[in-house]
Amino acid sequence: MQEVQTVVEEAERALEAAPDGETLEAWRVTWLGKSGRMTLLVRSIGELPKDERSEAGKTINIARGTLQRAYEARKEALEGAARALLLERERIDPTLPGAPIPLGNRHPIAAVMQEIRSIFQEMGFGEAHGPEVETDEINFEMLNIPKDHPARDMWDTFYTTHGHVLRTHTSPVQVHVMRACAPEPVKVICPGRVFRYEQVTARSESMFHQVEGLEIGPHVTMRDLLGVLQAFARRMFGDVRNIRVRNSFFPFTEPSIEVDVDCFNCEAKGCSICKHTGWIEILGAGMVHPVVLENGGYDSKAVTGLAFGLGVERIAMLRYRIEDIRHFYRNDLRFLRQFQSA
Amino acid sequence: MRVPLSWLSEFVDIPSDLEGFTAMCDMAGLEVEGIVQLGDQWERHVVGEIADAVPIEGTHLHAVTLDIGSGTCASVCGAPNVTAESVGRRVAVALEGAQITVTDKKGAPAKLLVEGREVRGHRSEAVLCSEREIGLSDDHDGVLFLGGDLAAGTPLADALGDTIITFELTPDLGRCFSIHGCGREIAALLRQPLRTDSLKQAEIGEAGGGSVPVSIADPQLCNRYLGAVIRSVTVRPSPDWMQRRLIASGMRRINNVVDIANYVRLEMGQPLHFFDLAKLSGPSIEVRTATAGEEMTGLDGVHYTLPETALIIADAEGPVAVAGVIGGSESAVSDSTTDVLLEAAHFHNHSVRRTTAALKLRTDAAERFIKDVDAAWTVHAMARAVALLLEICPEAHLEGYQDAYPTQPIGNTLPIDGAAVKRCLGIDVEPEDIRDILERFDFTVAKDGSGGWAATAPTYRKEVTHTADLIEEVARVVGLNNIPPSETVTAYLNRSSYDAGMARAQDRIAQILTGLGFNEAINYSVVSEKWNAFGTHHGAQTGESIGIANPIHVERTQMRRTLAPGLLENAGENLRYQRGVHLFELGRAYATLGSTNREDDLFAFVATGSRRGAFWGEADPGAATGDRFGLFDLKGILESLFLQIGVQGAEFTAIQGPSLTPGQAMQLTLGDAVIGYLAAVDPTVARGFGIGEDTAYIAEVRLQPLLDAGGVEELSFARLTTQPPVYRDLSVIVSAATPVGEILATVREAAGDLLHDLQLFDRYRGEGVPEDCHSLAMSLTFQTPERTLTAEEIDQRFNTIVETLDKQHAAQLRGS
Repeated sequence: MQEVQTVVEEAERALEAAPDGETLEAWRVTWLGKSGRMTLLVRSIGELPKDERSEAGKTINIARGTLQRAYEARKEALEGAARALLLERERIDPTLPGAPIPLGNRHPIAAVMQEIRSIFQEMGFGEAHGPEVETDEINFEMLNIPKDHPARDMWDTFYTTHGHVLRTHTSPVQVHVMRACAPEPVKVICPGRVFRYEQVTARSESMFHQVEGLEIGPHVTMRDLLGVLQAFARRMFGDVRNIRVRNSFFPFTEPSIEVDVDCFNCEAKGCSICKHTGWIEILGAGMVHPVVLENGGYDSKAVTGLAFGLGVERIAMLRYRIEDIRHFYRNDLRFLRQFQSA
Repeated sequence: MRVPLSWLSEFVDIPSDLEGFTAMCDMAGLEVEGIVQLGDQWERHVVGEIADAVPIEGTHLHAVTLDIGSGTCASVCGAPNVTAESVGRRVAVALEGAQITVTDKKGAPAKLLVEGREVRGHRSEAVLCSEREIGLSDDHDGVLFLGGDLAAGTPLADALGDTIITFELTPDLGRCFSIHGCGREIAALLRQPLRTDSLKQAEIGEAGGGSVPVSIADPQLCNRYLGAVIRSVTVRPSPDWMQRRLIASGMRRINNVVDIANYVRLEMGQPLHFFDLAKLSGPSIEVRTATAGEEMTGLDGVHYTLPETALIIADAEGPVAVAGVIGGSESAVSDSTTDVLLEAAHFHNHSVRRTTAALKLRTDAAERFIKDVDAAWTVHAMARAVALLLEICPEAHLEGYQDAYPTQPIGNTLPIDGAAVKRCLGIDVEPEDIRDILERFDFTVAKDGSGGWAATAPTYRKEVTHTADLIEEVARVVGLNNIPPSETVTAYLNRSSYDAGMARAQDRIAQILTGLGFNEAINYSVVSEKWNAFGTHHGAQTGESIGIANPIHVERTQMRRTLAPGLLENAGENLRYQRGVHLFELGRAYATLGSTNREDDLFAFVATGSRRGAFWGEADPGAATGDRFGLFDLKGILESLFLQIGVQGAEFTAIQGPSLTPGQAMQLTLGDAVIGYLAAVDPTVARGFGIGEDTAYIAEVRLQPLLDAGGVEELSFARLTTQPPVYRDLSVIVSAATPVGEILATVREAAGDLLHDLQLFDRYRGEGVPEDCHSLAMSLTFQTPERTLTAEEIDQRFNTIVETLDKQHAAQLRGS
């Protein structure tokens, strides 16, 4: 069947020339369709002598199979090319900027406050809060600061028209806590907002935040106070930090101390942050004055207490090298957004 | 407290390692604020003698010739106190190349290099210095005249140089507010003897002499009043050695009498006052409180009306001094004074402090009295002043003195032993060491009956009232840094008063809102009165605004009653640099009910403008969400937030109120209580805060009601069901006047317990829907964990819903 070979060759040439799906379909109808050329060839078998028919049938079937496979291969190639074309058209540019998904962040003071709170929480401190508008009695007198006492000069105070004070420190929360808990032992921090009658400058604010600490129990000593504060300093400023203690005065503690941490900026070599002393003052503390314990409802012969108070703004300023305290309450987003990773 | 080292060294040997010494002082509570080497900056300064001073015609200037030892130099000087009569006097001279301190146009200190130049045809190659020019004080009224004992040409650093230590003393260190007091404290800390031989005192004999009777009307306010009469005094400048010490201490020199009072105050810590005896009527002295309307002109020239609480010194006619604060001008010592009354007294520090507050006047003497002085020491200070006066004015004599001394002070006696020290400090200190330490600080220590010590404080330590004060002395000497920190922490299990709710809720809210793109703001609690007119729509409306009696700024006069204005101001300010502002705040609002106050913890947020700013894909169908929050985004945020803190059942209803846009405001209620609001800010109000183009939305919610209703603690797991859900969509046309919430509530009620979820997925007005109506499309999910639902029962429920909607809201089923 020389003719079969010719038909196959012709069909294969046409198939190779088919550029797209449409031409391919036309080719299929022409060659493999119900009335296509291969079908015609099969029909033509009847015209052959009987003994040749079987051989011719085989040949035609093989040829038909060859063309069918060639068709499928071609079809797949064409579809693949079309798919590739489509994908190419929709290829993304990975360097296009992502859509901005603005996340907010906490105010740096709140962020530092949260960090301080979690450090003390891990050391077993609970948390207590108190009013920001206080009585003179709770803010001062119960803390061993009588009226007209020279120590009152340590706090410049806002007074309300109703004769109350805006609390000048978080220490009055100590009084509320003691009165609620005495004679049971207590161990809390009291974070919050405080006020001072001061002009707002780069270094002083009329409003700021403190974290007060108070622990009262039968065996609380200065050693415990130093241990807690050293642990705090290391957690806050780095594992290699050391603290230094200076004698000081607060009416509500005796002995009273001020605590410095060695400068984390210059490794205590001396820089502008530590004013070239190698040390940075971070907080005031002491052993709770017996008068304050008694005012809080405790028997000062049965228990002792430690107390400390630290300024959150000061720590945030040291932490982030903020030179001007006035940035904090202007709430300029250009400032606030700098603390996304805080 | 400014302490010249040369003066301090009279009382105690100061170690040559100054850095180590000041570190020791710091650790022991004598905080060193600064050390100044007076003289280091005087590299080209010498003592000069004025050899000639010729007025320059037509000016106030003088052409001065100076003897500077090695030769002469010329200067043109404009100081008012340099005249032809100044010839022979010594002055501080800054030679060519020296730096002097001047003030710039703004009044700030600046350095100036001395250069040779011509002034009005006269050569000027040196400057005759004022105190300010050589950095001694701010005084620039004239040149500083130096003592006649200084040779011309002496380097100024040799003549006036000193080391000035400034101590920042806490209020409990009243005993250290003098050179002697500092020396005494330092001697105790250094374990060195205190030398007092420089404190030469006059032999004053017994009290009772003197012609001026003294009486104290109120012994509570004045515990001692000494009045010494000294006659035949000549008022003139103080001797050079005294002037130099006063210069180094930053004191002005007036005359020998007044200077002695200042000198002894600096040296011994006891303020003194000299009256011109001739100008006292009586003469007699009474220490009493002022009577109504009494007045006095002070040494400062100010006329004071004296408050009735003020303690005064009165002669036979009336006030001649405000006790411990200021003397009267009429009885002041002048150049013509010959006889004086010297006052050395102990006024109660609280009383002096009250008076300074009432008169708004703080003098050096008052500062000193407020820190408290020792009544037992007063007589020594008087004897010291008398000795100095008699030394400087050999012609003068002490006539005698009166001593009104109602009660002698005694130091408190307190117990202390090793156990007390251990209990407080946590360390062991030997009993003998405790005694030794206390004795160094002038405590009298004796054995008490129980094996410990009874320590009696010296009379100058009135602040010692508890054993804790003694323990502090032990700690200071042992060294606070020698106390080993504990390695373990104490925890009191189940006894903590942890105030979990509020702080935790605030942290959670902050977490959610920051995740939604809001930044946290913190605003002032003290605000302008007009801000409080914004309105308190958050429900905490009880009471009145709290006013500030002593505001620091005219715009900060009240405690805030709402967080909204602060956030709106922040938004307005930020919009100068931003295309949108999304801020939240956690803070309090304050009100007063008279004797009690109310403080409400709130959270608030403001949202205005673009959330993400410019984005290339904004118009791309691939961009998922809108760039601006609308009112219902914010409502959705509140609803989700409530779910997260366990609050259910908050309802939103329409409200009207100041500052809110009508028809764009909703109130939140929980149970019967209003707990907050969410609204578009009235555009006029927003513009007032600098918010122009975009609508500003504000929400404010009280936290305590949320906490009270919060169900975080009661959370319990619900079993997941395998029963298949059945979905039905429902579309109805209802009157637009009926709140959609009511329609949804009706559907829920009619659907009953099989309804698992209900979502409104479309609201449509327009073609095909009658005017005044809208079409609401919702999808209903029916499910129950107990069983598989049949189509029949769902159809039945669905019909019930449709019928109920029709009955209650005349709802028409759409598309049927």
